[in-house]
Amino acid sequence: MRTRWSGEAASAVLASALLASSLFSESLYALRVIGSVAFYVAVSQAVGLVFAATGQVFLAFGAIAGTSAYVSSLLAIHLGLHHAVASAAGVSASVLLGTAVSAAAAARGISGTHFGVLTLLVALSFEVLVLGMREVTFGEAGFEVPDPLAGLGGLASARAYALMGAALLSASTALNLLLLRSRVGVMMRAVGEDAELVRFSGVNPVRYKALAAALGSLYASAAGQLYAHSNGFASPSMFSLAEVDALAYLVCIVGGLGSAAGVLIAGTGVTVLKEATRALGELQLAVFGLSLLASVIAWKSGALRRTFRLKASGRRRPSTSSSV
Amino acid sequence: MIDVVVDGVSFGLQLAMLGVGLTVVYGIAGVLNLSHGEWVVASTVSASLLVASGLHPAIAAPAALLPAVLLSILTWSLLRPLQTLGDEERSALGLVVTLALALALHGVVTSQFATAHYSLQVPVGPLKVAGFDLRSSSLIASAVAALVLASLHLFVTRTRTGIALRATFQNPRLAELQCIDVGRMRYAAFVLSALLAGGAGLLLGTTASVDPASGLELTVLSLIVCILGGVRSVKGAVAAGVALGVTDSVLSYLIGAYLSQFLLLMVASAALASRVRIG
Repeated sequence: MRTRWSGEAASAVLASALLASSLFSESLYALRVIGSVAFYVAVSQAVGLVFAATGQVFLAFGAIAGTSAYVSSLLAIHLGLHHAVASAAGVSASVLLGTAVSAAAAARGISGTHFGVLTLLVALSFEVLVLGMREVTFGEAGFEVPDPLAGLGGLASARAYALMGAALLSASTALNLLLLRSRVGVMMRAVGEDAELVRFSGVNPVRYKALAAALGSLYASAAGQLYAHSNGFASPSMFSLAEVDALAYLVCIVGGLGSAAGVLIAGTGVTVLKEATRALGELQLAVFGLSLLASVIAWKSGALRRTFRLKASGRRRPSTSSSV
Repeated sequence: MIDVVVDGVSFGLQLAMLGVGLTVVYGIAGVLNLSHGEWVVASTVSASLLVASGLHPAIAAPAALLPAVLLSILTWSLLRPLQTLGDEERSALGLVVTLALALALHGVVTSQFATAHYSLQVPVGPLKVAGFDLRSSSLIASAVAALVLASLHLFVTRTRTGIALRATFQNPRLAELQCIDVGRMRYAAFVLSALLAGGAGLLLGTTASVDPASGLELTVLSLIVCILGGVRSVKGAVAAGVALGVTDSVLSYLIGAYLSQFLLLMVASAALASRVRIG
């Protein structure tokens, strides 16, 4: 129990530090970086939650976040909907998409690599749709997101979004920690460990997989909208597989799957890495890829697990090469 | 319209080569390689640069397969430690490792060769067949791709290594009992996949220009072929490749490239969800 509470304390301290930075920072750039930290941490929590509950690689949280940001902003721009209504519509569309993909896959018994590929196809469909419907979505160039807080002025508006971002990740962290201790959380982990065994005990695993995806999509969609508002801009590249999902996996692997404090620290680190390598241009992707590769190798060798005293999420089994 | 279909068949046979390569690796090593498209790009860009530097295409083409083979060796050395894991963990981490590799390669290639598209010119004019002007590059690429796939069929059915590969593909444990070195077969599967990817890249270069940033797109097309082909069926991958190539060309001609691509992604998602197979 001591380790668990120290993890919660560390999470609370980190979230408070972000909140305090949002309150007292006078730099527009710093406030935007806080918004980015909130985005990456929230998406990483979504990735971690789905991986823990289903043991599956969900590669479409960037698309889920992007759907939310695009739907809400485009409804406000093209139909003139009130920001609150447009925002709710964006979140609903994303949560529906994420839940539908997960539930359909679970009901059809699609898992492992097939599930990863299915979510990859969803992510690319989003990108192709945004690039193709350029009259509506403004294509590759993206567009300026209408700011409902524009009246407050640049710095105050950025501060408000940074505060909302910090509040979002505090709420998602708290919810994840509560979920871990609840009956639902226990069932989710059981489904992640062995869905068949859970089914034999009379529980429908599809419900828990869909719930995990719905919660993950909720985090990602709220984070997506705040990220777009914080930057004042939305473009397909901001929500691409390389920019979002790959980095979220990097955060989860480095921070430790299931470690709230680890994800917060790694999320901050990855955002700093992203900002520090921005000048590299296209080569930045190579840095992300190599970092992800190094983190998987270190995780596999146990170096990260030893460093962060984490327990591997998956069970190590003897070689099953025969089942390939 | 006939010329569109001929171009589609040519593209489809190239996709079949990509899909078969991906299928072989998945069947033998249990990993869907998300860096597959980057191997294609590496070969096309290398061949184009070698030809531009004055090397004869007959020497440049085989030499350009080398980067793809080297990348396949690198990929396999990174994936080999995962073979001790369980199926689910191995496939999940395999996806993450190959995605990481794809990003790293994509970053390096696009930063170095971002501004140009790469192609290999075939110095033959269009051919008139039954009143239609057909692109000779498409016809040549189709013939070469069909020859490669036929040779592959002969290789896996008539040679000892090919039969050992098939045995490992179907049941590695039984293959081990037959004294087949399964580790070597996995290694061979990666090299074979790289040769197919590199070859497809060279053919793509003769029929169209290849964007260095198109690695992920090519990977996804290969994945779609692999999925529609039934993931573990080489014949299915060939049939799916040709079907996809023709459908993509005709749809792009009729409704535009973006909508066609979106429809194909939707069809692939639906096929994956409903476990539909071609072939």
